[in-house]
Order: sequence, then structure tokens, then C-alpha cells
Amino acid sequence: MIKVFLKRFAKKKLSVVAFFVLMFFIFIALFGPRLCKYDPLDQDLRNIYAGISREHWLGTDNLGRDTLTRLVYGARVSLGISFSGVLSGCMIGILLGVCAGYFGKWVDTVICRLIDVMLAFPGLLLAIVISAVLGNGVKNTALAVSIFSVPSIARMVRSVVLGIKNQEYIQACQIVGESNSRVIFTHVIPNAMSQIIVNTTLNLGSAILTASSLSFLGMGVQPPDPEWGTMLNNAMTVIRTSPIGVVMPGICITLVVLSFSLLGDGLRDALDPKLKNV
Amino acid sequence: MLKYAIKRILQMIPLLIALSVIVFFLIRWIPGDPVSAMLGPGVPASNIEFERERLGLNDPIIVQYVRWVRDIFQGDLGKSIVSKKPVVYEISRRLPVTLTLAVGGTVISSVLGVILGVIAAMRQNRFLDNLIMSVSLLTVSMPSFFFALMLMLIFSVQLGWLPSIGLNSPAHAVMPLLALGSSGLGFMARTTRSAMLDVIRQDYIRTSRSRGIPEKIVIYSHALKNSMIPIITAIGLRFGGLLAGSAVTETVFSIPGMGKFLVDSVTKRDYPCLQAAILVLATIFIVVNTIVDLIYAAVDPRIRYE
Repeated sequence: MIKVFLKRFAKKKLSVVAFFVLMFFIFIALFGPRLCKYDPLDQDLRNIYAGISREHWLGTDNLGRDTLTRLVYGARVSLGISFSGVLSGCMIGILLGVCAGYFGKWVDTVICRLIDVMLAFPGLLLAIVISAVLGNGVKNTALAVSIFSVPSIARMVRSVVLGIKNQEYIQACQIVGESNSRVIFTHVIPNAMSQIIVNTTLNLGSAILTASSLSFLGMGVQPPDPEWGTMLNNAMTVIRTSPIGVVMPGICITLVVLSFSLLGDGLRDALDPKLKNV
Repeated sequence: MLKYAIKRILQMIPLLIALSVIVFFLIRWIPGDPVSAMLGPGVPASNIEFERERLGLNDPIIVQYVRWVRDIFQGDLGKSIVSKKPVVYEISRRLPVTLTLAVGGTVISSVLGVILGVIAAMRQNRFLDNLIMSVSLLTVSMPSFFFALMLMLIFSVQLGWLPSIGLNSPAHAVMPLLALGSSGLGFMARTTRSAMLDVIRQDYIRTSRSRGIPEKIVIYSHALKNSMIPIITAIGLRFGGLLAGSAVTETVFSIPGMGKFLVDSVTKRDYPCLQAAILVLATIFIVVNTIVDLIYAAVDPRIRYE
């Protein structure tokens, strides 16, 4: 099973590359801070907007803080928000989606209306509204990302479960008298898992975009905490004189989001049962 | 068709009511007292209490909600705490800017995205397809503020061709439109490509080809027409995305539109403005979605009878 999966996944070269890029960023987020010479918050006001040098590989920002160090710590914040936000949002989304799809009737109606209302706030507006209510900071940004990812995941899980529910093996379990919770946890969710995994991976990428957009707008992670969107915002005003402060965090965000998309595509091809016998 | 249209328009009403309830209560969940924010620091408690009474904030919440909705229907969205001007005035100055940019961005991304998507589908798995799909993936993955800043870095800072901030002349609109258009371009191209690939495998396309109908007509008038439903959905979604995305683009280019207004209202804690901005943007999105549904019914008569 795993062998087949790996073999199929390995065929998509770009997805494999994306996987290693993500591993690199995750490694940096976990262990990078130990390798850094500087503190991300240490100011050196005699040395602001320094260019690329042996001491400061990517220069310094408006307060003389080392850009590379801040990028490394930023990886921890950005990826941390994305993972914690999406994983917790997924739990709620799966629960809502499974209940709506499996139980149908009024449960489905209530949950669908709830999703409709949340999706009436297009794209980033939902995140902005949530963060306006919750306030700023790392924790609240993660919470905003979490709530933001609930409706799309819930809707996806619901449609998958609707497809699974009418399969004969589920009906067989129900006839034998298995309890609903047992059917859901041992049959429905495992069968929906591959689509859940693919969508979660794609959501991790969009969560980074959302979180960094919020921070860029001044509604997410607040300075002096290093987050890629916050760093970009901070460097934006001096784009004429020291563009590197804008370019580097931007490239990091793009690279991570791109990798999550490619990884998601690769996982979809490797896990999608429709392609299994091709 | 008329019957379907009326039914679909009536379906908007519960969603709009739910929206108004949510927006109304959300603003009241925000920590901090709007009256003390409005009067500023150092105001005695008795004055705050007087102001609360005057604004009706001590009334039961249901009464406040009903009054708020009644005022909306009379075109009164309250007064801005910061500028002290009516919110309706603030919005009427900014909404046209954002709508123009959002419509422009949607048109650019839809036209280019559909063309690129069709080309990619025609050349499936060949060089051009891979190139178009790679570029689409890149535009989808790049945060819009980063793309906008890169445009600024290249076209205003390095080349000096375009003005970087404000919106005083057509030249000012070029970069914001490009930034807004690019974010949807990849999404549109991917949607069009997969929709076209689904349709091209159908029997009627094979039949048309075997009957010797020119390839151009098969592609553009048979295949593309039948791929329209997912494409129109994507356009509707994109338009909504651009309305919200204007927050980012307008912040980068310092454009006085709804997006910047929304962001400023959050950071300055200007509750009446925030409430109105959310309500207006979400309402437009709901209306656009309804229009999209009506277009479906016009394009595909089967939908009307379901």
C-alpha cells in the first residue's frame, strides 16, 4: 500500500522537490533559531539598512536587526500559525462536514446555512472580519486562520461523505446494527481520508497567504514579532533604497505556498482512487 | 426564466438578514467600548453615560438591531467616529473606485485566463501547456501584496515608467489593475483548462470533429460554450475575491477605496465605518453570486427546471 503510494508519488518530480523544500523550511522553523548568531529582536541602530555582508548575509532592517535571523524566526511563526490554524480548523470542519453529510435532514440544513453565511464574506474579508473581532497577535491570527478554513473544509468533507454514505458497505454496517459513531469513525472518515489529506495540504498553503496578508495589513502578527507578512510591511516604505527587505520574505512566502500546492497536487495523483488502476 | 429569477432573488433575503444579524452582533463582540473610543481619553464617566443614552446604546439589543436595520433602509449608516462625517458619504466616495478596479481586474483575469486556459487544454501536456500551468501556479502562490510591490519595484523604482501611489490618472491604475488581474489569472486559466478537458472528451465533440466541422468552431463554439458553467462560477468567485483583495492592493498603492477604508476602520476602531464596509462588500458579493446563478440559467436551460 505504502510502496504503491510512494512509487506513484515519486513519478511527480516537482511534487518530490516541493516535499523537500517544505522539509527544509520545517527544519529551519524547528532548529534554525539555534543556528542563528543574532537575536531577531536585537537592535543595532548604528547599522540600519546595511547591505549584504559577511556579518549580515541578507542585510539589516530599519532598526538594524539581522534580516536572515528574522526570516528564520519568521518561518517558525508563519508555519506555526499555518499548521496550528489549519489542523484545528480541519478538526472542526471534518466534524461539521461528516455530521452534515452523514445525518442529513435538519442537521445538514443547519450546517449548510452556517457555511453559506460564512462564505458570504468573500476571501480575505472573512479573515479580516474574524481578526477585527478577535484582535491582533500570534494566537489570534492562528485562531482567525482556523475559523477561516472551517467552511471550505466542511463543505468538501460533506460532499465526499454524501458519496460514501450510499455505498453498500456503509448500508451493510448499518443493517448489522453498528452504532453511528462506529460507522463514522471506522468506515466513513477513513474512506474520506485521502481527499481530506489533499485538501488540508492545499489549505496549509492558502493559510500562509491569509496569515501573511493579515499581518501585512497590520491585523495579524504585530511588530516586533518576526512574521514574513509583518516584515514585508515593515520594509515596504523603504522599497526604493533597500528592496531586499521586501524581496526575501516575499520569496519565502511564495516558495512555501507553491510547495504546498505542488505537494497537494502530487498527493492527489498518488491517493486518488480513480487513478489507482490507470 | 422569470419565475426562476424571482425565486432566486427571493432566496437572497434570508441570507441578507443573516448577514445583517452577524455584522451587527460581531461589532458588539469587539472588545473595547465604542463610546469611550469616540470621545477620546480623559472624558468623565457621566459624559460617557450621557452619550451612551443619547446614542441608544443602553436600549435592549433587539431594539438597537431593529433601529439599525430601519436606518439602513433610510440610507443612514451612522457617522464615522474619526471623520465625524456620515458613513454613507465616506462610502459613496470610495465604492466607485473599488468597483472600477474590481471589475477591471476581473475582466483582465477572465479574458486572459480563459484564452490561456483554452490554449493549455488544446496543447495538453506539451510545452505551452506546462508553461501556462507553471505561470498560473506561480501567480496563485504569490501573495498579492508581494506581486504588487514587485511591480512597483520594477516599473516605478527601476524603470520609472509608472507612478507608484495614488489614483489620479489612468497611468496610476495600470499597476493596481495588473496586480488585481494577476491574482485571478492563474485561477481562471486552471479552471478553464480542466473544464475544457472534461468537455473535449465528450461524444458530441468527437461527432462534431468527425463530421468535418473546422477545429476552431468545435473549440470555440462547441467546447468552450459547454465549459461555461465552471468558468462563470470562477468569475463570480474571483470578483468577490477581488473586492476583499482590494484591501491589500489599495493599501500597497495608497488608493482611497473600500479596501483601504476597511483596513483603516479596523486599525482606528471606527465601528460604524467597519460595520458598513463589511455589510456593503458582503452584500455586493451576495448580489453578484445571485447574478451568476441567473446567468447559469440563461446559459443552461436545464438548471431552470431542476
